[in-house]
Amino acid sequence: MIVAAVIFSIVCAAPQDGLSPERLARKLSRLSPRAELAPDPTNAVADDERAARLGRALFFDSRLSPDGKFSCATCHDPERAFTDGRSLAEGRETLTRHVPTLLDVGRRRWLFWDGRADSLWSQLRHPLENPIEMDGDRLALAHLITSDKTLRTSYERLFGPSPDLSDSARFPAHARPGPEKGEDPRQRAWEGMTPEDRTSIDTLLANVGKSLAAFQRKLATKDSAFDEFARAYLGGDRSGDGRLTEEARRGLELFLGKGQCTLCHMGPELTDEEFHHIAVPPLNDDLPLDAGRYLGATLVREDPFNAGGAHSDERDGEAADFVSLLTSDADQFGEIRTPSLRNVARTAPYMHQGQFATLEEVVRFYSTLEGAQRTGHHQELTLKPAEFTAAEEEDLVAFLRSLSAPLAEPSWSVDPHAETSGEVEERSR
Amino acid sequence: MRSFLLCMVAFAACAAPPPRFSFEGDELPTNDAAWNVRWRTEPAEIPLNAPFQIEVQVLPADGSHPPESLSLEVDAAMPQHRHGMNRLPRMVPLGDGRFRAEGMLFHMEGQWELYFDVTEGDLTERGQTEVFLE
Amino acid sequence: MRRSLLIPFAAALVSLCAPAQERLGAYAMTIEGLVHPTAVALDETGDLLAIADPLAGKVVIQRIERPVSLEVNPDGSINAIPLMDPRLNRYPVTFNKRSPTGLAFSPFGRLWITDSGANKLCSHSKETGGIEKYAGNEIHDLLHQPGSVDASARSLAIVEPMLHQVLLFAHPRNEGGGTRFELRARLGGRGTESGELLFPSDVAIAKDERVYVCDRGNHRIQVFAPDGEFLFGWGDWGWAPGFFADPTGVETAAGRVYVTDSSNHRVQVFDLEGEWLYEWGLHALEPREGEGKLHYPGGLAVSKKGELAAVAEAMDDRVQLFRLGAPPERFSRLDRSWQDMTASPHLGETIAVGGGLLFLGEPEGNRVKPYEWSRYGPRQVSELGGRGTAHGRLLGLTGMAYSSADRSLLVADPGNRRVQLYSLGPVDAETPAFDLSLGRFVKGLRLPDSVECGAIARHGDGSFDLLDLRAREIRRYDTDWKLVTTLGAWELVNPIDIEWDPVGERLLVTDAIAQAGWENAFGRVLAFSDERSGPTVVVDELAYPAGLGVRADGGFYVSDILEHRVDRFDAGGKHLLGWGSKGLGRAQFFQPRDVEVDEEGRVLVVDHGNHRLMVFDEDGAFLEVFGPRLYTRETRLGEGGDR
Repeated sequence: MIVAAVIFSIVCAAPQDGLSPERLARKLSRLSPRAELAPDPTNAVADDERAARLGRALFFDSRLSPDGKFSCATCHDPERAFTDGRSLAEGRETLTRHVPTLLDVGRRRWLFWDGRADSLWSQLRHPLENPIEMDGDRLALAHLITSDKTLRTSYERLFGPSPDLSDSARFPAHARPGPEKGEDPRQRAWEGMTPEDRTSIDTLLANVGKSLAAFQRKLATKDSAFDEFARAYLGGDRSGDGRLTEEARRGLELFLGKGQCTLCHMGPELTDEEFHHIAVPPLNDDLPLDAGRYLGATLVREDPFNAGGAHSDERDGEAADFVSLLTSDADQFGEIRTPSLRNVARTAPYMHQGQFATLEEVVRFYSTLEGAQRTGHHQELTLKPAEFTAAEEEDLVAFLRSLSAPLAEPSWSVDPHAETSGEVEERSR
Repeated sequence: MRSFLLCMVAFAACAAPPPRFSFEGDELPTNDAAWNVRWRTEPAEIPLNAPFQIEVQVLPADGSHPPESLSLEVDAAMPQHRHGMNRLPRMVPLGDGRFRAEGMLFHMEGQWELYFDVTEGDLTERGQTEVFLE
Repeated sequence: MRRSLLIPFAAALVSLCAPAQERLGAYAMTIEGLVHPTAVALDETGDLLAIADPLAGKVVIQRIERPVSLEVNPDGSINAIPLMDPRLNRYPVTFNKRSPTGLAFSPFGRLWITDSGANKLCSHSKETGGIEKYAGNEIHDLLHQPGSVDASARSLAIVEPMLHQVLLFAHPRNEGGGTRFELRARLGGRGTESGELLFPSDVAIAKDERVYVCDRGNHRIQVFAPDGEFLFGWGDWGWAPGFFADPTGVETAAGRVYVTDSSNHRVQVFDLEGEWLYEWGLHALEPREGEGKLHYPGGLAVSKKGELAAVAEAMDDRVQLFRLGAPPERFSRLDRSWQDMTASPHLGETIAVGGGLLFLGEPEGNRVKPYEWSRYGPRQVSELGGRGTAHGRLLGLTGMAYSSADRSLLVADPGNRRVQLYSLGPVDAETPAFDLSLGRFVKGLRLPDSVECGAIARHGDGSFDLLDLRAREIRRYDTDWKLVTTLGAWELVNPIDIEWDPVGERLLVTDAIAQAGWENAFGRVLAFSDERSGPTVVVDELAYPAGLGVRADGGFYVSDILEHRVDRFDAGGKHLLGWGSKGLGRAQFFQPRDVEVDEEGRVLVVDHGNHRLMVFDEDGAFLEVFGPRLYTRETRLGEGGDR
């Protein structure tokens, strides 16, 4: 009895590096509630339901790849939080990075791990035309849109008349731009087209991208247990309506305090939407070194489909500024985009090459920095190991798990072509 | 009488008042005291990870008029993290030593240093201040 | 600028794994007995290796036994093929203390040699052994501090680093003194855009006559057509394959481009379009390690068939030879020395001291590291600079001077062509460790287009002197940073360091080659007292004086790179004492550079080749050492072993 009392008092007297309620409230208010999904002025149909329905149809349509083997949903599987559960994406070959989730993708400032696209609608052509991903091409896409009655009708309702592609000399069945000195016949076909014809195809491509973007903006998740906790706490209920377990609550404080996580995972989306080098070791020795933002910044600035380009619906707005003022510097080599931590428990494995299978491994890495790959011989590493205890690591993982939530409108995640209709339930949790 | 008036006019011209700042804002001298810099941000409270603007006016510390050839660059850095902003702001000269820096973005919370680099001829002098973003 | 880099760059992102043997590039042997070899060249047959040794003022030609065909052992390793003892097969091309900088064998039996000190070109005949100096030839009017050179059947290319250009001539028919050199094009011009150059360090003409320039200051390779038109380039500052840090030598052979990537301690190999193929080089960790490991690889020569490579390492007094067989299939960047997290200070050539503070210049990192040194050895308190073009940043670092009166440091920034002033907050033994906000950039002065800045000397009143390495003169600025006058034009040949003597109110300058072209030319220390009259010679007949440190009484210390010693003189130039020899001990140096005297009269010497800072009392008795453990342990143990 006395022994138990002593143990009990020792446990209780253990120092809590806690935040005062006022400080916690202030920091909490930065993480929740979430803002409304901001409009995208570069995409005139971003919030148009009809565009979203067209986008959804195309998302699940494997005719976007020439042999029908790939649709967007192949790698962005609705059953798996719109990723694929693998470390590296599996296209026609194994790719060099992990599939990012599409949950809440409408909120992203930059797309891809290196930010090579600055809008959801301009992102399409990368997986579409990558020879080892879908290996499709924009001419085939244009022919698909114009020859399929349903698609064409939907397209023209949104964007006006589609181009007349009947002259096969002007509009080959397959064509797409390619790298300098590329050998692909599709590239030669593209180079054989007139600039005006190419522009009309590019416009169609941009419009299809905008429809897909409208659809993907619907893949928004609801408030999570963490948000409910925050709402109650900020409303004065210091227990947070019990929405977080004790573990998760301690994890929240670690997230805000000792872990320094909000340096990069800040704001209601738990990402600064920018790029950092955190010295994560590559998945294996065979993978190429990932140039990260160094390559991405160069690509996005030169992208004809960026926010300042001809296909943007707001060429001189804030989004265009983001890309035109962008700096590009050798120091960016290896910098990777900070992913959002919302729904992170659903998107294993983790990091840009899926290096860590579990959240525990992620937290362990930040705790010890074991295996960290220093950038270069003469460079300093500013990241410091957090040095969590085993219990703290568990608490932090518990907090991260509290950030998951289902889709607000699950019907959007259902394949409209699927045989079984009427089953609208959100299946992935 | 006329000569007296002429003298008064001449005197007034010589004793022309020094230029004044045309808006309210924070003020700082450059690091070697050659210039005074006044600045204010729009919005007044610098937002975290969202674009903002800074209105700046530079006046010589000796009270003379800012030269036509004066130019300004605005930059910022987080020294503890060894990096700056991810973008180069657009500078818009407005005359009379006034400038607007557009497209500023502080993408991380913490200690920022904000730099005003004033160049006249071959000499550049920096004025700076600290901003803590939470 | 980046567009042309993208494609070769994207394709070049390949990394592989290899056993350590192949990471050494099949090391063959080391040629020693050299002083400070900078350039190397192999002739058409691969039998002759020429080595330029500018500090010794000579070129050495080494006969190499024709290697037998490559043998690969069953386990995949390659044996080091012994070459004939170099001491038996060497003959010098005497050069009378000139400064041979660039070497290239022409296809016509001659060896081209440039002299950056005398601004001259000459050629040595393999047959007769004589040197043709082209006396009175017009070509010498074109040359300004010519550096590396390369020759092909149709072209002769000469790099001029201080002018940021490469002169491309038609390869002349050799007609003795009357040879005509027809200038076909000037490549480059100072800048960072495509086709521009920043302190280019080497040139190589490929078989198809395209010209590959090692654009050192921009950390990239630039390629030009034979008529001078810019074609493409690749590279950027960095450590990944395809990236460079201070690339120094470039060579083309057997359809490949080889680049000595100096601060990355490796040689990278590309195809002629810039596609990365492989790299070799393990970082030397032990002092003078060699045996195939690379420290700072500089000049490079590859035999025509690509089976033999010579790499010069000036800071280690040697040339290493490598057998190059088929490139290994797999390589990895996960070399242990790269992952070594303890960032030991890389000492550049210059330091500054004052007010209990020590400032180390680190050119590889493009930054200055301030240390507080009042109690137990230097403690780094902050950092200034960092690589970049923005105000306050640095691209290279050539001179520094501190004023404890206002705690400000003046730094020469050669890449950005400016001088920058930083101030440091108050620092003492109580200051908590490391604050990156402790220093601030105060102001900067942009220099005129033709000035390339070197050492700096501050006067007590706020005025300062700046050494212009291109014009080889001193620019004097008043307290408002306005240029007052220039000193020393036509009198300085190879000025290295300048220091202000407040007692004698004069500027002291080390000039490493006194009178080029004279027999037995020596280095000396000059003093500029009066702006109107010329300098006086204070000390004469030094071997290769580099660093200069002035005492409170007007006396001074001079370091000598060639003799590895430091000497003390009184204000009148009378030699009082000296110490030093080549080595790693307490009274030894390896290519010592800057010297400074602190407020307590202690003498600090940048022992550059040994990566350490040595501290002595005013008479040369050893006090302390500061540097990486591998280089300082012998000193700490003292003479005779254990402490």
